[in-house]
Amino acid sequence: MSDTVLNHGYIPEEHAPDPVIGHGDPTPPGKVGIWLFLASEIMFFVAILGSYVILRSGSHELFAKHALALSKPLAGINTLVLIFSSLTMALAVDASQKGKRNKTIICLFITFLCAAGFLGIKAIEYTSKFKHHTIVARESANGPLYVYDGHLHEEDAASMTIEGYRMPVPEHGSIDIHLISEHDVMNGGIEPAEAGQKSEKAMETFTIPKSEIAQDIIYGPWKNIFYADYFTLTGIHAIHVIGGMFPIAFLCIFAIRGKLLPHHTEYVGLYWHFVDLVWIFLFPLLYLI
Amino acid sequence: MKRYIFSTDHKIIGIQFLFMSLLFFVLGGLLAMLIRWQLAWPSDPNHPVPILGQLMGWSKGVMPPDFYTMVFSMHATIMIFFVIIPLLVGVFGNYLIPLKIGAGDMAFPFLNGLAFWSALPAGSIILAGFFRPGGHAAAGWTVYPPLSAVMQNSGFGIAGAQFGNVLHPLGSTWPMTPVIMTFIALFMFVAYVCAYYVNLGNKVLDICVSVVLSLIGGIVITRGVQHAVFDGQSAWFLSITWLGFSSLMGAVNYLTTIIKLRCPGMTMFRLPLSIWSLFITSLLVLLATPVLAATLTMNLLDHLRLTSFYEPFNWVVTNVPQENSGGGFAIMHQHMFWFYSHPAVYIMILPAMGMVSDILAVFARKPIFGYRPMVYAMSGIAFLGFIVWAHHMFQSGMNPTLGTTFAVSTMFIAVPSAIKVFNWLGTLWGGNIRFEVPMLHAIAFVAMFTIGGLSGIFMASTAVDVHIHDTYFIVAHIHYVLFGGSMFGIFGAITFWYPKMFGRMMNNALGHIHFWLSFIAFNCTFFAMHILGIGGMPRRVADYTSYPTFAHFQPMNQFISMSAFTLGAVQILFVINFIGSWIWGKKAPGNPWEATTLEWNDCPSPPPHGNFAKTPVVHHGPYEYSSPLVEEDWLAQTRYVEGAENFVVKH
Amino acid sequence: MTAHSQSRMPEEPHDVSRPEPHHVVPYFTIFIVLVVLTIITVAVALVRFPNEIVNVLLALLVATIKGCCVALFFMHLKYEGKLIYLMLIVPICLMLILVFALIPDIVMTDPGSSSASLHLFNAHPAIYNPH
Repeated sequence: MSDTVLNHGYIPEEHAPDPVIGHGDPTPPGKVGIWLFLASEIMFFVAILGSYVILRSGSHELFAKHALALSKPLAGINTLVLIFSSLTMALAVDASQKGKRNKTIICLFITFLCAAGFLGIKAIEYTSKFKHHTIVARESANGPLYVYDGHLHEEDAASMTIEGYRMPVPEHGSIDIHLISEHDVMNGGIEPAEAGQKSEKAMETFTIPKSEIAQDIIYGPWKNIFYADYFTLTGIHAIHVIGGMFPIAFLCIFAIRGKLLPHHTEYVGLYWHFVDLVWIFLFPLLYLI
Repeated sequence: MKRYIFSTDHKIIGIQFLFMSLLFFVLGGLLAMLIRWQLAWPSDPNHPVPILGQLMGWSKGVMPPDFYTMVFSMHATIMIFFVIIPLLVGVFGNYLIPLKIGAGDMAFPFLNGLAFWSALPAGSIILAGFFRPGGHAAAGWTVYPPLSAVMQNSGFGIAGAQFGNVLHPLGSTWPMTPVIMTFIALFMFVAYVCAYYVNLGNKVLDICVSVVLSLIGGIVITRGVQHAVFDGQSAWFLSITWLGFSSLMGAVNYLTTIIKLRCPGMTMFRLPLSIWSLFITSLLVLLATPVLAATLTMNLLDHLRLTSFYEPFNWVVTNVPQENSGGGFAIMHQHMFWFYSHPAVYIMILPAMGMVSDILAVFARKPIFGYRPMVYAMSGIAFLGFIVWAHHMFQSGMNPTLGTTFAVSTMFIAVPSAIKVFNWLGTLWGGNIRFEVPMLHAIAFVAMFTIGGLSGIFMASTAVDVHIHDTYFIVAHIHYVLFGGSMFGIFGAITFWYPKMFGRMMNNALGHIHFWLSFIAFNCTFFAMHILGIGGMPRRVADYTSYPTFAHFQPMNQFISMSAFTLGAVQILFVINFIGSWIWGKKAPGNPWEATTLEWNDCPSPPPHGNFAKTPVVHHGPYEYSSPLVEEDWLAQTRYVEGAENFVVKH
Repeated sequence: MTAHSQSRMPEEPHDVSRPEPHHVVPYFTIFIVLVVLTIITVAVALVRFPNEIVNVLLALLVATIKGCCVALFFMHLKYEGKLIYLMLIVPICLMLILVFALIPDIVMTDPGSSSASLHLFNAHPAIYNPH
């Protein structure tokens, strides 16, 4: 008696030819379905990741400069977390197919925790980007014009305290602060310095009166196309992680209530590995090169 | 309730899709009438727009140009995304696939229902866009940025530096109608999921919990939609992306069903061509729609001023510098949009081709001429469809190297298309043709598709395209392919499968009148547009008479408009026939057309839930007409005949 | 429709059968390989080669190896039939087509004339007139 026949809503008859319904291919329909879904997911990420690659090669100086501002250690840890969750997911699938209930529950639970941890680390990264300000302002009413760059330390009604660097705005012309990176400000100019070279300058704390601020830019996706890509790619990936957490939680609850769902676990596993796979490509493309 | 509303039965879902898309067809048609009114008497106070002119309070009843822009954008959007694609893929994909391959239902019946119930909110959001201040999307159905990034709701803008604003823009300017509409659609969406997944052991408790959950879900998502949709354009983006997910669910389902659930004996090369075409179409949907979803997501983010993928540096809209930095490439949107939308053109024609092949074989009482070449030609069209998209962009300023490459690959498409046309003609040749209504529509399809295809070859040439780009020649071409092709194919398919769907025969006389009037009015409307296009009349211009060069086109435009109004009015006959036959039509026998495929021979009209009493076993190909093995001129796929193996028509 | 397919989860006959585990897959070995490769790729990124291309290619090479490990072993692709491979080859081909077709328009543009330029001197006038 084959799955597909039953699945189909028929009680197979004695004389009905054996599972010709699969026409020789043993893959169950669910697996065909999930792989088709993954194929479409590939196209989805190709569209976004492909446009990132293209935009990057179109203006690689800008991308290389801004990529330096992303935190490699945090992303590295995130990669390990996600790979580990992939391992536990694979073990959960294996355990559930072998009918080992406790192992399934533990593995699914760890996977869920890893996913939550991944999102937590991501949240730290995002927060640091939103606390990051690039401000054009005068120190006092008639003082020189500076570009400040750094993290917001304190803010009250009249002033903002920034921990970071500053440089004077060049007098020979205007500059577009949308394009200035942390790196530029740190090195005191907008000439592109040697990539990767860390300045010896120590961070300082500046208090800027709010009335003197000409422009204030947060490192959100609107800052430039690098951040647009960074937030869109990681954001959509994060949505996929959240989307994977629900079925993992459901599977876990079902397993605790004594019902192992080996088919479903396998399909959720395939999806989860795919999410991991996407991150494996996102990590070097966004953070490392 | 579960049987007829929240049903997972593919036939019910197909019929639900049918009613949804026919309603949208009426709306899209009315928008087309508005376009034609404006073009016949552009901004003429002596000819105020009837009814709407007073309703909207326009001065002297004259349509403002930005309203015209909105009308043609929405006509295209609704006709493409909410009429033709759902009619072909949603209705006939659902209805025919399991019936024709001998399966009891789809591979994932729940997902199938979900596809419909998520298409409905997409539809209600696109309708809600009409109620936004500033009107609905007006950047054309191709939503080219930076035009699509213009905020239409001028009372509201998102400062890039104030991220918080995105989360609470004014929801209060929404009138009640779209809110209630969206809420109902979303309520049904959540209720559908609840109907299958809320199971607490007690039926009354289940229903209570489901209703509460649906209320909460409906309200929460409606609020979310209200926040995201602050102008017509964002409604457009949200709705089409949403609809994309719905078609993805459908495509996964169709493909899995065709791959896994064919009944014994139904090999891939015994599938009717309609199923082959739906298979290939589903592949296109599966691989192209995600690209559209990604593009529209990026475009929506740009529109919200959150990112700047497609906007240039330091860009300014109506003298206001925009908050996001810019630095993107508008042309990248065109590439990615057409990477979806060119395959989408084939999504809109391939199923019609497949169904027309079936209809032609049935009424010509002959096997389809060249079954395998037909399959290969469709696969070839699908493959080539992915590598020709830039022929929509010859005038976009892209690299000329690409222009030549894409011109050549576009011309290649003529080869498989011509194979198909000649095979249809070969099928008709020497046939014992029965001119029933579906057959008339199918023959019209072949003729109109040929004309539309031939005018397409002109555009494929970069040099010719310089002249005819963005003229009415393009409009004529697309309508010959989509109305003359797909819509006649759809009319043919509806009249052909109507007895199976509703168990009643359609009225023959009304059907003939509807066909002939439509056919004549259609050609009067759209053939003349070729002439306008060669003359240089630009599309998407509200008042061409304000340019002295084009002013002399007005009489011909009036002729076109008259024909278009006739064409619109004639469709009322179809509606009357459709509804009337449902009530008064005479009962249909199981196989009124004497066709060979499973849905006619192995189940009654309409088929019960589960379709077949027992799993059918297939012995023959789908087009065994006038077979010498049997006395009748048709040999059903499931009818076993001694010695058939030696007699199989080698295709 | 029979009672069976009206059940709560119509998709899968989960109570009916239990699929056999495919093969003995060396999950832990693969995991260690992935961790080592992650460390390698970070280490390589810290070394800046004179030509940026080397960095990019190395990073992508390592990512591809890691991706293949996940796909082949964790996703059991190694043990699947040709149907699944068929489903994967098509999007990968399309990916190449899409990306390569975009190159002439966006990458091969004159840096002075396009948005690829970094040094634009036309900022918002408000920068100089904060009041």
